[in-house]
Parts: sequence; C-alpha cells; structure tokens
Amino acid sequence: MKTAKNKLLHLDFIFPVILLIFVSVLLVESLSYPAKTRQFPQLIGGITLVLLVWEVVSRIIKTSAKTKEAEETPEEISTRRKKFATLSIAMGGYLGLIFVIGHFAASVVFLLVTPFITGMTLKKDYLKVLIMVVIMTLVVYLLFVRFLQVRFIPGFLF
Amino acid sequence: MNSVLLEAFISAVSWPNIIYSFGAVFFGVLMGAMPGISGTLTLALLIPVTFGLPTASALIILTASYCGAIFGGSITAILINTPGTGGSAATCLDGYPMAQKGQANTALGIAASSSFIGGVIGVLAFALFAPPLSRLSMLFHSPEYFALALFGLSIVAVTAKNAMRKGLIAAGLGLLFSTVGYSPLTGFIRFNFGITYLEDGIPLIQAMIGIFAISQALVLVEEKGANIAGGKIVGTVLKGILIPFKYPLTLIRSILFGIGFGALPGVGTATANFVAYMTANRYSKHPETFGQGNPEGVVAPEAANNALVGGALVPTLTFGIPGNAATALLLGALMIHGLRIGPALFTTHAIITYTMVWGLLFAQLFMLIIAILGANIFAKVTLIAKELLVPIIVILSLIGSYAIRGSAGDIILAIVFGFIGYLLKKAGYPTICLILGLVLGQIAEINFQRSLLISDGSMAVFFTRPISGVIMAIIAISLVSPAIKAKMAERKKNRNN
Repeated sequence: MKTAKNKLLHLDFIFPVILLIFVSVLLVESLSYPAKTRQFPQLIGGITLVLLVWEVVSRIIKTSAKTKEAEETPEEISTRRKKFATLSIAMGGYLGLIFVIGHFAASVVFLLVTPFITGMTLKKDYLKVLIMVVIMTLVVYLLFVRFLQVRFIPGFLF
Repeated sequence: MNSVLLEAFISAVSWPNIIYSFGAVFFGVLMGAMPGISGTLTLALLIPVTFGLPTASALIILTASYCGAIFGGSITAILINTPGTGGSAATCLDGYPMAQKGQANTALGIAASSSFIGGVIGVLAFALFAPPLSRLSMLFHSPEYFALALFGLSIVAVTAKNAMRKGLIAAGLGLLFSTVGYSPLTGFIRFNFGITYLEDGIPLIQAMIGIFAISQALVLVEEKGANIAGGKIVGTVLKGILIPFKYPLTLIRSILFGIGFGALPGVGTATANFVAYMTANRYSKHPETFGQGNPEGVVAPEAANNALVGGALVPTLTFGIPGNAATALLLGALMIHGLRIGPALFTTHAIITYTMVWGLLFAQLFMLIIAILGANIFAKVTLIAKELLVPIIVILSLIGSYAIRGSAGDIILAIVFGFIGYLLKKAGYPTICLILGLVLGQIAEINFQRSLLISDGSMAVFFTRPISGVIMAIIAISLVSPAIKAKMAERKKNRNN
C-alpha cells in the first residue's frame, strides 16, 4: 500500500509558532494597559510564551530527527482534506447567507445542501435528507421561533 | 419534625405536584439536550409559568426542571461529543469514546445512575446539613477562592500526563482568553482590538459550543466510517446503571466535590464537573484508559454535577446568596412567592421547603426512569449517517449559540472556537485544558487581585490562612506525588530486576 509522509509533524511545528506570535501580540498589546490591569495577563502570557518557545525548539529537534510514515494513503488524505474544506466553506457560506436570506432560511439551506456536498448522493439518499430537513426545520421552528421566541436575523426570505 | 416531613411528603406526592415534577424533569431533559440551552435558561423559561401556582408546586417545577436539564446536557455530551450545558463538558471525555465503541446506551445508563445517586445525596445533604454547610462556605474568601481555582488548574498536570507542556500551553491560552474584555478590577477593556463585541469578554458557553460541537463536526466529516458507533450498538442500559456501584470511592468523592463546590457561590457546575473527573483520573487504577471510554470517567462528572444542585441550594436558601446563576433565579422566584430567605425557611415555611426537598428526590427518580426508558432510543443517534448528523450538529450548535443573547457575533465566535478546537485536537493539545483555563480564568484573576489588595500585595496571604493554606498544600502534594510515585515504582522495578 502506498503511504504518504505524515504532514502532522509540520502542524506540530507550525501551530505552536502561530500561537507564539499570537501570545507575543497579546503581551505587546498589554504593555499599554495600566499596571493592575495587565498584571494577570502578563503573568499568564509570560509563562505561556516560555512554554511555547520550549515547544517550538523541541519540535525543531524532533522534526529533524525523525519522520513518521502515515497510516493513510494519499487518496485517503486527499478525501479527508476535501471533506474538511467543503464543510469549512459551507459554514462560511452559511454565515454569509444568514445576512442575505435570513437566519432561518439559511439554516434550512445549510441542512439541505451539506449532506450532499459531504458525501451523500442525490439519487440514493434524497429521501433521508428530505426527512431530516423537515424534522429539523420543525424542531428549530417550534423550539426556537415559537417557544423560545428567538428573533432570528431577518433576510429577504424569512 | 416528623410530622412536618410527613406533611411535606404528602404534599409532594399529591396530585398535581407529582405530575408537575415529572413534566418539569422531562422538559428539562429536552432543553438540556439542546446545545446552548442551559439549566439556567430552562429555569428562566419556566418562572413565568409558575407565577399562578402554589409556592410548593412552583419550587418543585423549577428545581426539577433544572435537575432534568443538567442530565439532558449529558445526553448530547455522550452521543455527539457536544455538552448541552457547561456542567456536562467533562462527561464528553469518556462518554463519547464509549459511544464510538457502540456503548452509548451503557454510557447513558452510567450517567443516569450516577446522576440519580449524586442528586439524591446532594438533596439529602441540603436537607440535613444546610446550616453547618452554609457556615463552612462563609469561611471562604478571596484567597480561598484563588486557591480553589489554582487547584482546578493544577488538574492540568494530571490531564495532560503525556503532553504536560501542551496541556499547560492550552490552559495558558484559556486563561488569556478569559482576560479578554473588561478587567474585573479596574474596568479597563483588554485585548478587544477595537472589536466592540469583545468588550464583554469571550462568552463561555458559546466558546465551549465551538470547541466541542463545531470542532467535533469538523472531525466527524473527515473521519472514516458511516456513523459514530461504527455500525452497531453493543452495550446495554442495565449494565450502565450498575457500573457506578463498582466505583464507590469515586462516587463518594465526586458527590462531595459536587456538594462542596455547589455550596461555594460563583464556583460553577463546570468546575465541579472537571475537578471530579480529574480527581477520578488521578486516583483510578487505570488512569491510562481515561479519555478512551473508561466508565469511571462518566461516573465522576455525572455524580458531581447533580450533587451540586443540593449543594447550591445551601447558601441560596440559608443566606440568600445564590450558589450559581440558576439558584439566583430560584431565589428570585422564592421572593416573588413571598418567602423569607434564611432560617425561617426551615421553621415558618418548613412544609414548603421540605415539599421542595421531596419534590427534588422524586425528580431524581423520574430522571432515572426517563433515562432508562429513553437510553436505547437516544443511543440510535450514534447510528445516524455522519453526513446527516454533521449539519444537525452545526445548525443546533450555531442556533443555540445565537439564541443565548441574540447576537450574530456569537455565531462567528462559536465557529472561530470550533476551528481553534479542531487545530488543538489535530496538533495534540488537550482541549479540556483550554476550557479549564477559560472556566477558571475569571475566578482566578479576580480573587488573586482581591487577595493582594487585602494583604497589601503580600503573597503570604495564600499560605497563612488556614483553609487556603490547606488547599495550597493539597495542590503541592498532588503536583509532586505523581513524580514521587513514578520514582518509587522505578526503584521497585530496579530492585526486582
């Protein structure tokens, strides 16, 4: 079976670097705060920063020392990433759609579209998806709109 | 006294109180199972319903629905790794892995049984020991609260056994996130970077929904397998019901944590839930199996979060100081019904108070019955195709986040924290540590600052006061003991060789 070099080691390195930058930004920002306001975040931020530097250094040493073979084939990795990207884009689209067609309508569209773009087939599974959409729409409507009287963000549809 | 108890019992079992109790538990379970709808919100929804009812009936409805909501939160925690309420967050850690093994109904049985035992003992503790417990809780001041928060954070060391550094980094991040918004001491706005939404800080529930539910949806969509349970359910509810009895020490310890943390105003259900879980992990014979579906990891948080209900009633009803947001609402309801808070509740209004106690005991029983009858049906959720389940999780979570305050920013925040949670999981950082930091951040900071104000900046205040000194000593021992144990085990091994 064909295997791929594990990219997790790279994430192991990249992620603490991103966190390092993030915590550094917070620490720099905190310098402009009054002494009592910045005391606690600086204490925590300082400790976290030291730990992150330690983590990054140890990752550099470990990454250069070894590479792991992944259990997944390149095809499996590609499928996994595609599904992850699809759902991420779908959530982003949902967020945008909320302000255009309204929160409630956007939720119905998300429920209807997501199963198909993440692996279900229109020919075989349309009935299952339809049943799920009807049930969930009813649950959301009865619970949130009618009972809890949540005022959804309005759009041109609902 | 006996006649009061008998009269209260008759009132509690009388029609329609018994129906109110069952209905309120059922409603609470349904509400609690919805991400974002907390026990507090459930209680708030029911307060207007109770206005026209007799006081005892109103109290039964409110307290029973709260108990139901706490258990309801555990259902989704187990089935889809999404805690319905903050108090069920730790239940995810071993409950969901059990569901992945096809043992969702067993895990639900454990949760029901542990919640029942914890709930009953918690209520009895309130009924029997309310005055001494409330006096004890009044001995806790800022240094003690800070020590308690530190105790909670010391748990990080245990949680992240094999990735201590990563655990501490995640906890540090959680603590930093908790400092976003108004400083509790000076009122100065921190780390909002010009975003008005962040001025009030990062809302805990919405962040937790993101870390648990949204990140779970992202993980689920890319995982292999058609559904969570891997095709079949192999567990049984009855097995789950009996499991807590195998861990009597864990059960007792967790219940004591629940009652104790409940009696301390402001500490919160999530803290008790986590501390009970981590302590069970620390003293377990098989700590290495925690996080992989160890039943003991479901027993501990579930016993604690329901025992907390009784504990939280102690300061609420004896001093009028609510133990948490839900009991604050209960306090309001008591006042609406014209009850005087304090010792009078156990003398002048004794029948009403003890009717509520009986009502709470029946509520625990109803919760157990609902769980037993419903566990196999609930467990079927783990057999739903992932492609169908993922949009359900996302929609319920994001609408749940929005419904709390009606803020679109909360939807964005839940998604952002979803990606943060996903990345943490992928990079091997324990997300529980991030949550622990978020939960305890404010308690730690405000009490740290207050203590230093009291002591003119001297750190000795944390060690010289008897209770905080004892807690600090426990923290030191618990941090050092694993290393000592490991060293001793190594020596023993070397000697045997």
